[in-house]
Formats: sequence, C-alpha cells, structure tokens
Amino acid sequence: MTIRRFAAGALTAVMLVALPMTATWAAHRTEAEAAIATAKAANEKAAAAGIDTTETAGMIEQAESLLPTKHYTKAIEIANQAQKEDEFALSQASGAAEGEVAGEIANEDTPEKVKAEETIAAAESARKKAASVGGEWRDTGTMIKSAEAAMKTGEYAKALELATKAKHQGELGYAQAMAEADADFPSYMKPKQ
Amino acid sequence: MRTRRCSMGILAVSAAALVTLATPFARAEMPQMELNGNAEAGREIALDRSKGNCIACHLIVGGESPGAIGPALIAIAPRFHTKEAVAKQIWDATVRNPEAVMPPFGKHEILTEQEFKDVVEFVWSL
Amino acid sequence: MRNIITMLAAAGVACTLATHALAAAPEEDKEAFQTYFKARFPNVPEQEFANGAYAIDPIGRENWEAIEEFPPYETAIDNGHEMWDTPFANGKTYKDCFPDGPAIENRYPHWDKERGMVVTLALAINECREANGEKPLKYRKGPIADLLAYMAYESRGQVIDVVIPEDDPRAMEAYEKGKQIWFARRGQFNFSCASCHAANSGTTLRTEILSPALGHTSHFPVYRSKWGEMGTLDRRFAGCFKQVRAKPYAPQSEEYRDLAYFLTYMSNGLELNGPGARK
Repeated sequence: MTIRRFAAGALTAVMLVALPMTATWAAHRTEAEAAIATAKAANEKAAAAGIDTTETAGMIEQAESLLPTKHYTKAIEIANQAQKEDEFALSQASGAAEGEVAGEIANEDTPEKVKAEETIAAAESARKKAASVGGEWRDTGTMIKSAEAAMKTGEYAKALELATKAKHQGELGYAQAMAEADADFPSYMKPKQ
Repeated sequence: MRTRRCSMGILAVSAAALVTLATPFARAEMPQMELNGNAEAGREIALDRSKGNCIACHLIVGGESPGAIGPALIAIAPRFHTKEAVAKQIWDATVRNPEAVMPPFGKHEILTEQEFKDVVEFVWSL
Repeated sequence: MRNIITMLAAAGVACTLATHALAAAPEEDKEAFQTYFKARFPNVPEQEFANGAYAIDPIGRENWEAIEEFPPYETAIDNGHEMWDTPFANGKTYKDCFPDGPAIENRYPHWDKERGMVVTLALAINECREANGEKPLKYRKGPIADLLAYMAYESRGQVIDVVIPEDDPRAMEAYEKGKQIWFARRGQFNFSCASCHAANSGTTLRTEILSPALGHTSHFPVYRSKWGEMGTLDRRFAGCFKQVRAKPYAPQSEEYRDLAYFLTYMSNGLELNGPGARK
C-alpha cells in the first residue's frame, strides 16, 4: 500500500511539473497563433476600409512561416507590428472619414509627425555621408529602420528619438572617418626615418 | 613636393575643423550637465556587458573576471581630484590622451545621458 | 580660426617631412611592426607569432595543443581536396586555373598590374569558377573555406613574401590604404585594429587574451570554436568590425583586399601555417 501511495504522490509531483511545462511550451505556440489571428483580423478590417495592406499581409505571412521552426517570439513580434500598423492606418482613415470629431484631426501631418519624418530623412542622409567615407557605424541602419517602423504605428515620439540617435551616429561616423584619414603608425610603433 | 596622400591629409584636417565648427552638433566637448547620478545604478551599468562594460578593461572591486587593459578603478579621487574631471574622462578619454584606447562613452552616445551620470557617480565613489 | 591655421601649418610641415620617407616606407614599416612585437614579447621565437595568442598564453596553448591532436579543420581539408579534384560542369578543374597545383598560398595576396588591384586567393578562386561557368562562392564561410583550407594545408611551411612592385605606384597606394584602414579608429567604440592588437596585445579583455597582429594572416582559414565551423579572413574582418560597432565592408571589397595586402606584408618572413584552430 505504501508503494501505491508513493506512486500516486510521484505521479502527482510529475504532473505538477510536466503539465505546466507543456502548458508553457504550448502557450508559446498558442500565443504566436493568437497574435497572428489578431493580426489577420486587423489586416482584413484595414483592407475592407480600402487601405493598401500588401506590406502588412506580407509580414503576417512571414510570421506564419516562422511557426514550423518554433521561432515563436519573433513571429509574435512581427505579427504585433503588422497589427499595430493596420490598426493605426485604420484609425487614420476612419478619423478622416468622420471629419471633425472632438477637435481631432486625423490623417494630417501634425508637427510631431513632420518633425519625425524630417529627422528620419536627415538620419538617412547622415548615414550615407558616413558610408561614403567608409565610416558608417554598425547600428545606424537598423535604428533608421526601427524609426520607420514606429512611423507606421503612429509612434512619432519614438520615431523621432530613434532618428535623432541615428542622425548623430551618421554625423559622428563621418567626422571620425575624416579625422582618421591620415591614420598611421602611432608614436609607440614609429618606423625609423 | 606633396603627395596625394598628404594633400588628402590636409583636406581631411581642414574638413574636420570645418565640420567641428559648422555643425551645431559638435559634441567633442562635454555639455554642461548636473552630475547628480545614482552610484548604485552606475555600478550596474559598469558591470553590464551590453552597457558600460567597464569591467572588460578595468578592475572593479567586487566585479568578476576583469580585464587588465586600463588602470584599476580605485583611488579615483586622489587621481582625478574632481567629479567633473572623471566625467570628462568618461565622456572622451582622447582629450587627455589622443592615443587612449577607451571608447568615448559620452561623445559617441554609447551611454544615455542618465546612464552616463550614473556611471560618473559610481566611478567617482571608488 | 587660429586653430585651423595652426593645424594646417602643422599638417604642411608634417607632409614635407613625410614625403622623404614615403619611398622606402613598407620595408621600414615592416621592421618597425615586427620589432615592436618582438620587443613586447621577447620570449617568443619569431615563427611562433604565427600561433597567435597561443604563443603567449601557456594555458591556452595547452588546450590548443590538445585540440590540434584531432584538428577540427580536418574535415574542411578533406572537403577542399574533393572540391579541387571535382571537375566543373564544363569538364575543367581548378588545376586549369592554377596549373602549379594547390600549394600556391604564398603567391597571395599580390598586386595585379594589368587590372590595377590586389588579388587574394579567395578572389582568384571565384574568378576561376566564374570563368568556367560556375556560381561564385560566398566569401565568409562555407565551401570556399574548405577549398582554402586544403590549399592552405598544402602550402604549409611556405614563407610569406608579399611584394609591392616598385614600378607601379598604384600598388604602393593600395598598401598605404590598407595601412590606413588598420590604424584608423572606427565604429561607435572608436577602436582601431591597433588598439587591441598592438597597444594591448597580450593584455586581457575580460578573460580573453588579445593576440598580437604579427602573424595574424598566416593561419587562415580558421576553425573557430566560437563559430563551431570554419571561417575566412573576410569573416574575421567582419566580426572585428561589428565588435567595435562599425559596419563591415563588403567581403573582398577593395578595402578588405588592401587591408589583407598590408597586413600580410607585415608578416613577411613568417611561415604559412594554415588552416588554424582558434578559440
């Protein structure tokens, strides 16, 4: 009888560990599938409102393609981004359709939006300038892409912050390359002349 | 007789000078700021590989597996005398020594302004 | 304003002084380079520099010697040998491009006078492939690393002897460009190659010993435990650039070929000992 009780106890213990473990693993896949489903719904809604959803549809496809290889976190990230972009585009479109609603002017270039756009353009220009003298830094391009993604979800402040950082990187990289144009043996290694 | 390389060098020097003068964003000099960071937060940053990672090159008491490229971060006050001097060094070490290897944590925006202040506070306390 | 004038004046004076030295520069550069490292590591015999950090780190060396008993690059050599022997679709083989056989690593990199560029062995391999209707291989890893491993192995013991022809000033320019790239600070971290591999060679970054630059190119391609596979010099250049938060140049770009030209020249006199195994 003691053995049976022990076995029952052991079984309970195992299930207490195993079930949550499998549940956690299954939750990742379920989470990813849920994120994709929500993204699809937003995508359909946006398409129905006449918005061009080719890009976001592509992103959802990309998220789906990551499921077989279990890249759930990445899939969720991409699906969420697509959803946010479609929802933002929809909010802009419906705002415009409803006209003046409680003083909100949607789909217009707010100063915040314009500033972000201008800074992204300036950042890209600075990046290219640094690249032209072989001085581009590692993360500048990625920062600009992140800023552009933030524009698509209406996160203008975030876009501005990223673009400003990227612009600084481009400027610093250019100045650095120009300052180093004559780089040569340092004092501690000087060749005899 | 000047080789093309030398002409390039002179062009580069003058270009660099013009860039420094013309761009409003010329952060070689540390901007005015209140050095009122949090030393404990600064310690985290100093030991964090993805942030300051000071321990990669400097011995920090209490840190694990330090590098030995820079001097140990001890007895800072007698060596630097003011917190501002420490801040300037961390901002851009090449000002004091053009051949310094230490990255310009402030000038190159490796740390955010708050992180920078925190690290300064921490190092000053050593 | 006064600062600019002073700087220009200084640059002018420096240039006038520098031009005299320019003509014989590479040999003197090499002497200075090698003297520096020999003085920094006086107990290391010259040829040992080709073993990098293992020439100066006794514990690392023990581990490395154990690994070398069953070298992790052996499969690569075998694969490379098979590639060498396998005809292209058109029936030709690599031997048709390289009639002297695979043991030719010490002919690279060299200055190609006709085309006015530095040619590396990796580039030559892909040019051979394309001339025979085959797709070029990717430069950083994969099959090209296998073929390079085989050719490096067959070339072991050859003395590095990069030549800068005196009758073509463009070759000197390429060498100078490579030198500038090696000594220039770059990336968000503002490091030059020299920052770690000259000034701080032998010191520890965290717990990793920084290898001296003398001998750096002798043992490529390399099996790096960190990669879990083979990689070429292009791969290592890209990795280093990223580590200092600079954007890498394209593989086999003019910049990286010029850099290889300068860096290999600095190791003239050392024996080739590829392919290598490293941490």
